[in-house]
Amino acid sequence: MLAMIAVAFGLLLGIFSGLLPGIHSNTVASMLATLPIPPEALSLAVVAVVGAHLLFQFLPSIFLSIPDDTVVASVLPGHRLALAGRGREAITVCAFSTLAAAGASVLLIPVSLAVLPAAYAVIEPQMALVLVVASLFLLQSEREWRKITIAAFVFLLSGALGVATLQGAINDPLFPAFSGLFAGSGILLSFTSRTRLPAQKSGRTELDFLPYVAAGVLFGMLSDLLPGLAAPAQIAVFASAVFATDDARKFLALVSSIAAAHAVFAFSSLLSIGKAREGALAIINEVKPVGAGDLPALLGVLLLSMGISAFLLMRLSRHASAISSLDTRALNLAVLAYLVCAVAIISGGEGLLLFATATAVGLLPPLLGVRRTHVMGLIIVPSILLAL
Amino acid sequence: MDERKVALAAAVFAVAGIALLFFLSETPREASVAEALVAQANSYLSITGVAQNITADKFYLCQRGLCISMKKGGIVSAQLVEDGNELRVLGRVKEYRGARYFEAESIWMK
Repeated sequence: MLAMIAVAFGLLLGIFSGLLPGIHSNTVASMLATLPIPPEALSLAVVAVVGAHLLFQFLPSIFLSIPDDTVVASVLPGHRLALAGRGREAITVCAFSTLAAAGASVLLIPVSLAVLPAAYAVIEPQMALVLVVASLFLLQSEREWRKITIAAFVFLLSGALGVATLQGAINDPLFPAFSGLFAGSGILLSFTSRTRLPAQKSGRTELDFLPYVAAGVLFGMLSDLLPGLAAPAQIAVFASAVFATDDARKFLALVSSIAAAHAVFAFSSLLSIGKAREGALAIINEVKPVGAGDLPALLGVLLLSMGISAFLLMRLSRHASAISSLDTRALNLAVLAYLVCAVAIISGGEGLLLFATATAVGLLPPLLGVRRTHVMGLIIVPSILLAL
Repeated sequence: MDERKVALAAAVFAVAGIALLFFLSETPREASVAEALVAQANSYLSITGVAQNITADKFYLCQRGLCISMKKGGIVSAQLVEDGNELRVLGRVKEYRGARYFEAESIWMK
């Protein structure tokens, strides 16, 4: 009975944290850990939070262009689909890909337990080199020298912002940073155009993105070998360079699958190489060490939480058309006001400075004619420095 | 509005903001052990808690049932720490092969 209450409680908290940008699942987990909850129930509640948060974070990301650090790469293609009236389709692709990738990852857990230690031993000493090569690959995708130079400037500027903030004293720095880079700058630019969120269509969704889900599972496993700076987002950026596609649905499938697989393989990573790649998992392990015998219950709750959340998310997305009836300018101003308040409460005055600076950096790619992906230097450059 | 001028203004603002953020990064933030366990690597924090399991080069700082490993470094006051002492520790969150620990720079007994 206590287990069921814990799962239901975690599910509700995960939905709440996913819908409210800025409330990270790790934050919820660290708050839960301070409550007088039995360790077993706490573990189940935290895992339910992770599952529900993973699904529901797509809603603000796709319809309002507000990113969460795990799936930040989904913001641009997801919002692009919403602007084309295909937001519900984007939600369907994300929900389906998350569930499929999580299910496949659970089946691959025995394989990952054997593979991860060997892969970690090979990759870990070369981590800085791998990240540098991948970054150069990302920059050269601009193809023209002038654009490559501008992209390198944006990448390094974002990297300097990352080094200045991720080493600093700002609480939850990725929230103000990503909100500024994507949402803040996007909203400012929207004031110069008359783009409006159209009525959201409903229709059948083709499953031609399944190969990208399979790739996402493999990249998700790989992401659990990287240092802890928003690894799924980094992997998604590099994977997008490898699997170049103009189809936003396929890209969303890739990003969702990587995030879901990362959450599942974090358990293998903890058991096989002793590294908790999810903050929430680190908290659980600290309260009560996770053993192989705990895996069936924890992974079962993770899948259950994801399944219920996917169902609720699909139901909720039917009402997304309500957003299109709102005045775009008023909606954007409300989102901006929310972000400023949330950043002030969560990260304080320094967070507001970070948000403003990140917004300025986020304005540069569209104004200078390069892709916005290069602002991911924010997490890639500090990772390179950490790996050196 | 001229896009080039807006881009230049944004770049100048960004550089100034980054410089200020580098300056501010030297100010520690009060945090709980739970927050330290999920904080970004290199976060500069001030944590309070109770010392446990003391060895020659490290001890655990615990608060509300959660503990984080503290590397003493060459801090003289760390040698005086005993099991059960209530401490305030200033330092940075570090990560070695995925495992979080705290590198103490200063330790005060409360």
